[in-house]
Amino acid sequence: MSFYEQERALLDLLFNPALRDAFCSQSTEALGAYDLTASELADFATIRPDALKMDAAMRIRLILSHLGKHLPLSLSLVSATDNGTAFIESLISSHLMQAKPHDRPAFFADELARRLPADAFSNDEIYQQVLAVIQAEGALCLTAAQLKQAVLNGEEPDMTPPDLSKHWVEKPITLAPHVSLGVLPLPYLQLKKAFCPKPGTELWPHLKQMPLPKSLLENRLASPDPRLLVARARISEHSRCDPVIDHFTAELAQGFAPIFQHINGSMSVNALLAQLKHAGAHDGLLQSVQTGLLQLLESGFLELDE
Amino acid sequence: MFSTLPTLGIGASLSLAAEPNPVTLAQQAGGPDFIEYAGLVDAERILPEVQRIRASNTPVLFHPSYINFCGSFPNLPAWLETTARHIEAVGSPWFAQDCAYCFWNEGFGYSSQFGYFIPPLFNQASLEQAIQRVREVQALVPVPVAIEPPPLTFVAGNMHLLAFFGELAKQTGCGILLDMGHLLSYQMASGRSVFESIEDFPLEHVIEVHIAGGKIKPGDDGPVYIDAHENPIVDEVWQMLDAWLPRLNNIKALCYECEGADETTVLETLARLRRLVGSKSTSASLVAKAEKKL
Repeated sequence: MSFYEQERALLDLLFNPALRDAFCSQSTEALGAYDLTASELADFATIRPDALKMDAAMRIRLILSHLGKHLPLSLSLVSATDNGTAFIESLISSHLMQAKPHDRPAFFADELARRLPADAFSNDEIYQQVLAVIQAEGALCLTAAQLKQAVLNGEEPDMTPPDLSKHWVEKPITLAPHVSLGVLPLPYLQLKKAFCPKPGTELWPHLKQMPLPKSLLENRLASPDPRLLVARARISEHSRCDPVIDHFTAELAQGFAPIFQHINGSMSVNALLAQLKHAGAHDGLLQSVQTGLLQLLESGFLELDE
Repeated sequence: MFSTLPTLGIGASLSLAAEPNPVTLAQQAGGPDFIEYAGLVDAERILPEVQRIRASNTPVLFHPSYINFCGSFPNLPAWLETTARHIEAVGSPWFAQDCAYCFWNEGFGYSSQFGYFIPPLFNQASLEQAIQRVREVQALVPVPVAIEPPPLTFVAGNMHLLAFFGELAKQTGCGILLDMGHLLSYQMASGRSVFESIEDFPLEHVIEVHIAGGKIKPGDDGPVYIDAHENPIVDEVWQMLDAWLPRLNNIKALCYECEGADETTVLETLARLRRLVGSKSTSASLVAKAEKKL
């Protein structure tokens, strides 16, 4: 017997749909798995099942409205599948709600990607494109959460640009902290314009009423123009309790993606270019890769291992 | 009790970033006597707007939504210390918040993370936890704390709402904010009259009253009251205020929560509230404030 068990049951009734359904049909008998005395169980007998259902539905709508600010494309694209909005709602769980608030968007994106049914889309190409978008938005949420936690732990990241005055091509190159990479089927802003009919918290209520038509995905994703989205989380408002994080981003041609597999602190730019040359890259391409890497260093996406 | 607190009068709770503009509204003849705002923990983010309001000789009340005043999960000292600095920076003479869960486990953050507040369980064990939570806030915040029964779609626990909050106030010495819509929501969710336990309720602890728009939704087992400030105030809530005003002789502030309402509605409602206070309230200082603008 414990108050903590009562609290656990309360949270689960709100965010565990299976338990809630069982409670609504069997009352407190549904709470048999909790270590509660008869009088502690009796506290739950005062809950009106119809009101509990109404409460949970309102909460899920508001929580998804909030998540829509972090994962706009993910929610929009998945809404286009059969029962897509119900599938999205089913991912709000007690487990998710017990995570720290800033961790939830990334957890949710991870769950969405993991449970997204491939057969919900017209073909595998569209499924893979949607999956890539969810993973890219999830990666943005993850770096934002990691940076926020670092700030809360008192660990402010060093945003000083690297010294590129000399020999920079000879030093090992690596991703800067809190940088994410994601391949998108179209430029991010183009995707948002095509698939997000409302901004911010207005998006989910709109999708709930009017999910995107499947045909919109088929039409707009039929001619992809893939981009590598590179994003670094940064502090836009400092706070001891509630720092605000945003991202600065760059979009590169998809051809850059394989190069990033080698940007892990083990190779210098010179070594990377030598490897590309050995693989048959022409001088024009090598020059363009070097220029691109320099720009990414100057912008703070990459760092030199000193 | 609470005798050193100023009587603020009949005010309005507004969003600092949206219409109607708090400063413009406060400068109107029948405008609010004070402005209450639901703000972020960091004062720096709202200070310019608050300074504009205070420059028009209008006091402000801070009404946050991130403190756990109940449950077993304690508030982080950093959040309470930042709250204390916020209150000092804006000159809020007291601060009140719904007694509900805003975060879970070793977390933090705003009640919006759950959609809205999760209400407390109404039993003795929960009351004991709430006493601890209120005391931990009182230890770090430099002004009197007032706790507010939250909006309730459902009720878990057999202790009556007024018994829970009355005992919490007596044990901690905190103030109470009564929201008329929240009390109506309790009646609908529990099927019990809110006045059932009024004999032992410390009426003198009630320093603030809220009234706001809402909706009554039909449910399978009866109506459910939904707190929705952009809507008109429902008749049952006006009746609730009518019934409570004569009992509360220590109220320092009556606040119309009207985020999302238009300016005309706000001014007309404030006028109606002033008339009602003039005819029903037993708080002499509040009546005096109301009559100044009638």
